[in-house]
Amino acid sequence: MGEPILECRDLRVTFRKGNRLIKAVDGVSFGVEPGECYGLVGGSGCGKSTLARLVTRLRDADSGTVWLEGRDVTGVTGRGLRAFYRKVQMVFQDPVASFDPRKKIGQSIAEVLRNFGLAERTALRAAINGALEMVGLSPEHGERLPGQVSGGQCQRAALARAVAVRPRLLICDEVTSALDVSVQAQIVSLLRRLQGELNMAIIFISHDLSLVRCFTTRLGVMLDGKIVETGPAAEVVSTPKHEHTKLLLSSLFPVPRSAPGP
Amino acid sequence: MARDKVRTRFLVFSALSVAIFAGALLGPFIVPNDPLKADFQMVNQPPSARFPFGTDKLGRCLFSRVVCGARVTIFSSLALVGVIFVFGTAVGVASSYAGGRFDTVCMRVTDIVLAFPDMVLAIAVAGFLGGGLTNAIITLACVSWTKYARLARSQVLALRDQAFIEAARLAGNTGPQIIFRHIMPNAMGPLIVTAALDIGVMMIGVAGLSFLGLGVRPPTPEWGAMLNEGRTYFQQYPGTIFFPGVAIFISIMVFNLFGDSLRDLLAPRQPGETAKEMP
Ligand SMILES: Nc1ncnc2c1ncn2[C@@H]1O[C@H](COP(=O)(O)OP(=O)(O)OP(=O)(O)O)[C@@H](O)[C@H]1O
Ligand SMILES: [Mg+2]
Repeated sequence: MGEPILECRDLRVTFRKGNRLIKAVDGVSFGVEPGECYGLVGGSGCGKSTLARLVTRLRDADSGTVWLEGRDVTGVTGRGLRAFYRKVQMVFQDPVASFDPRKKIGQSIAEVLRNFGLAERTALRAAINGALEMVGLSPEHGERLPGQVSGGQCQRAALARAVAVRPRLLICDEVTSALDVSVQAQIVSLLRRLQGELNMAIIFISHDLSLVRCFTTRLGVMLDGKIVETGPAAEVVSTPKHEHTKLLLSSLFPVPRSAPGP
Repeated sequence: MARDKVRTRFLVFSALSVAIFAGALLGPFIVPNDPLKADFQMVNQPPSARFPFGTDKLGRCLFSRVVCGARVTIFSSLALVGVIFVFGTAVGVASSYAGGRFDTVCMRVTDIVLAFPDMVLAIAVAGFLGGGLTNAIITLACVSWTKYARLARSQVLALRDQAFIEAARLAGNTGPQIIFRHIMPNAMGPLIVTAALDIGVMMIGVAGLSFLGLGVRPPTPEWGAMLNEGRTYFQQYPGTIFFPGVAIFISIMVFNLFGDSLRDLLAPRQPGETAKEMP
């Protein structure tokens, strides 16, 4: 194993909800190798999205450190942050909500290309179309507003926007849970293809262990803000050690209906 | 479709508003008489071919004064709305974006200003600054920027945590770029509607201060000031009150209905609808 592309150590975040303190992320450490697909599984509210926000610098951790390619990126801002996003991108759960409702999809992709200086002004249109083509969309989809394409198409567009910068690491936070089952499969195979073509690492976050295990090389199981079990995907699935993993596996995992929403 | 009706209404009232603006702008060039020229042989005349609305106590043509008065009343209201819109929005956006103590201070100040009845506060400030159109505008601006600050702040807070703002950060935008490219355009709708509805309110403010002698000074024609001038003779010569009053009434009504129809047009966000308007 070489140097990990991303490493986190002892990340912590506490939210205050009324009088209660919620330890959304409670001492999480993990590493991701270049080009690998790392899975993060856990039930609703266990802190997966919060962890993703810490890793992508969308939120500051209360404590802990994040290294990208061996460099401490815990406190980067401004110019350093832009350089960071050149290497780390993220795709969100709700594809429509992740696009500016007033901008055409093509405009949102163009914005990324311009911000990172990835396309000349004259070659912008071709670059947008290239990005759309890569995820199986046509140039015509770029002319539409996010509300005017289907959920699956919108998630493809979100992927196009994220991989347009050719990131080294892509974080997928429940990218399939807003979509129906047949479309989920398409998105997952698209992700696989992109990972191969672009040779990027992926952190695949999901509450669905059956989806994660067929897709990832290693995985971590989260419960209440902690990673309770981690290891090669096949191993964790065949010989689960932690009770929670066994619960997830036996698909008896009781989804708490009254769980506080994100 | 109901949607078409909304659009038609909007077009009608935009056209009427534009007509009033055009009238106010061109007024001084098309009036039959000099609005400032007193003629003591023609005092308090009834409407005639030469003086369509009659004359006032100084023998000035009422029609010319009403038409020329539009300019002062309407354009000072517009300028006022522009000032408070920009200032209030800037305060609201800056305050919600900066957060922390700056936010707290800004919101306390707006609370204090909001706690006073507008006109009472305006009269107090105008009394302090003295009369004159500029001071009247400053006065009204001082007391009416707050609702823009509040509205802009709540808009920004509602937008700030949405996924597309996070996505915009990942897209390499800096803080100011996110504000100007993503937050402001999405927050503008309600602010613009408020501004449109405020044109009428500000007209009442300007005319009201002038009526009280704290705004435009005579002999400049201005609707509120004209009401005041006509007040004493209004029983014998109702025209001196009637014509400027009707002018105020009609233009405020048109601007308010314009604001209303704009709100209806923008209110329900239908993605399919906006797309039609795009080339
Ligand atoms: N901004 C916030 N303020 C307060 N509490 C929060 C905030 N964000 C998350 N939480 C709380 O932190 C915990 C973890 O939330 P998070 O969204 O990370 O969970 P998740 O694993 O992504 O869940 P889901 O599967 O539902 O997306 C939850 O209890 C949530 O209520
Ligand atoms: Mg989540």
